[in-house]
Amino acid sequence: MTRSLPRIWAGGMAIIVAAQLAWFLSLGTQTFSQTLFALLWASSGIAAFFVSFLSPRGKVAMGLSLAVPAAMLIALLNYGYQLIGHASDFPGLRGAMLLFAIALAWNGAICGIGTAAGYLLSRTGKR
Amino acid sequence: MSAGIYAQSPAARPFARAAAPVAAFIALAMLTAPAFAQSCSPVEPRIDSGAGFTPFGANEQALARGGNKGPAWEWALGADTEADQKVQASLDWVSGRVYSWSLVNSGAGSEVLEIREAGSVRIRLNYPSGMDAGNALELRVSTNPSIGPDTTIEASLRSLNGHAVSGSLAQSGRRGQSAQALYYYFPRLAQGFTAEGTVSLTFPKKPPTGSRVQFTVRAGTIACSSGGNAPTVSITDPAPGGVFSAPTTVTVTADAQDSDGTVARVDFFASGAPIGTDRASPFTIAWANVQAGAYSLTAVATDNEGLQTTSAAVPITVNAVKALYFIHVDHLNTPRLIADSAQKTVWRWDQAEPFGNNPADEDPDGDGIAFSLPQRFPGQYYDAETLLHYNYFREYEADVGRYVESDPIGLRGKSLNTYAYVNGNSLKFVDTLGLEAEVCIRPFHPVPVPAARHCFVRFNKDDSDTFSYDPEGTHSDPAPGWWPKSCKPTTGPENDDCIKREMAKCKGEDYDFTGNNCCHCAERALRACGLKFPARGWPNWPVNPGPLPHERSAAQ
Repeated sequence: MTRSLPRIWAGGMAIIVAAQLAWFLSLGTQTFSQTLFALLWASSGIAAFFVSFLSPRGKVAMGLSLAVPAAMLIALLNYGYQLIGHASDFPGLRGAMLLFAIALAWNGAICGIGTAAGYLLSRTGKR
Repeated sequence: MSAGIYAQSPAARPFARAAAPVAAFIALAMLTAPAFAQSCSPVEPRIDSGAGFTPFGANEQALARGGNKGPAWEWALGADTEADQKVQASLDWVSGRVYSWSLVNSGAGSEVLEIREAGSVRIRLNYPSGMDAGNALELRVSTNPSIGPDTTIEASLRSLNGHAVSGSLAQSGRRGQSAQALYYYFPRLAQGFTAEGTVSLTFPKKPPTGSRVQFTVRAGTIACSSGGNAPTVSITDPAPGGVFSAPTTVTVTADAQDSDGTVARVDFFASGAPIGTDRASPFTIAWANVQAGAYSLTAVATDNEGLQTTSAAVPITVNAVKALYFIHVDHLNTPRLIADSAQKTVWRWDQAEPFGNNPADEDPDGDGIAFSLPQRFPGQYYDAETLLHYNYFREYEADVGRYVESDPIGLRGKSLNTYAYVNGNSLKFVDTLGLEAEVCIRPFHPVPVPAARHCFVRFNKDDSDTFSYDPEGTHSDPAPGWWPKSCKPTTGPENDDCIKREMAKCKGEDYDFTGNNCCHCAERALRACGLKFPARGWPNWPVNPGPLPHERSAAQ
């Protein structure tokens, strides 16, 4: 089966987007939970794992590259959450930048773990 | 004025001999020299059935020859009357028509009895032995009575407070008795007893124990003499509709006159409540410290006969005045002095005692107008009825310098003494709500950052009363109820204002997620206000160990 890199990367982003949207939707519906909270921050690692595992080449770069858009997305969602009238501990542009920095550091680490796992697992499968 | 009678004097005997059996009763009445007076208006004598109505008119003529006139209208006990003497007058029905009477003694009240049967009514008066010459009994007719033929009315007095009641003044049928130089007075009873009035019996000399007075009216109408006119009274100041500004002193003046005597006193009332009395003309009082409201002023004049008249009501209005006062507080925001716009001190609460056990001076300028301010230490409201300071969750007793209830959070904060007020340091700290501040820790909102928490200070266990620090500065916490949250009490005397004031020094531009963050700002403020929160209680301790060296120095 031939997989294109953009489709694989988009699939990884879909996991992240789904997890983050699910979190913010749960805030609106007051259905948030520890599971969704864990999924929110683990989604980038899971996405990196699959992207790295499925990519035919450039596995590490593909996996790690998810960290930046994932951090941007959560910062944007937080900003949008404020724009519709909700309070946030990361207020304003300054707060969004702070959250982006925090999320980038976190996602970088998580994506690194996921990427490593996917890479190692794909290599093991080839043997 | 009525005519006098020298009862049982030689001048009286001709009358007794000439009178009919009815007149015999009248003669007996003269033994005790009753004076029958009424406050009805003077009218011409009226006899309903002339032939039968001889007693009073005839007696008057006959007895008047005795030449002994006495004070018919006075109603005063002698100077040697015992204090608190109380007697009750009553009418005993013997026979007669339906009549309504009341007997009134001197200021002790009245009693109204109804004579329910037509016919003869006999009056009999029994006096206590302590009654001396000059004593009088007043018999007051309450509602337009008309005594019919053969009316006999019997009245009696009895002691209400242990004084002996000796009996009647005379015995019926003993005509000619008591010739022992007893000088009694019998008024002119020639006028119609047709309106509300007063009948007085006056004894120029002390009646003997056991004496009794009887009257019998065979025909016609019991009459009264003129002279018992009620006084007139009107309020001359203030004018009706007068408007004043509270608090004020209203001078009330009344013009009172009595055509047949003197005005003994004028009582003033405001909406029915007594506000003063004056016994000499010009009748005026100063009604002080009048508070805002609408009042109806009346004056009641009482003449020397005890007759009263109430003036027309004079409405006045006392408006509340908005005034500007300046409250001076001490370093703890405790009100210590209030001055008006003229810089005159109208209230002051000196710090004569650290725990507030000295009362506030509500009239330091001595103008008689009290200024009330219930605020005491910050958060406290003085209750003058209980002498306690209401402190929201608890009540503070200044006498002992502590709360009267235990801290509702128990032993979780401050000290082992849960009744103590600001740990005994009332010169430095306050306790606005009787509760302590808490440090709460929760996830970030709306994006919980893994392994990171947000700190904020909560006051009085109220999520709507918080203070928080983030990149935009200090303000109420944006999500105090965010899940999952934990709050722990601080240690030390609480001072909400101090904590907020110190936290407000944290600027948004100085925010550092890993350095000068929310928890550090809170801790620095707590330390500056004398409170503590264990550093290991901070989230992510020891990575985030609490105050940094420069924060500690700033707090000191």
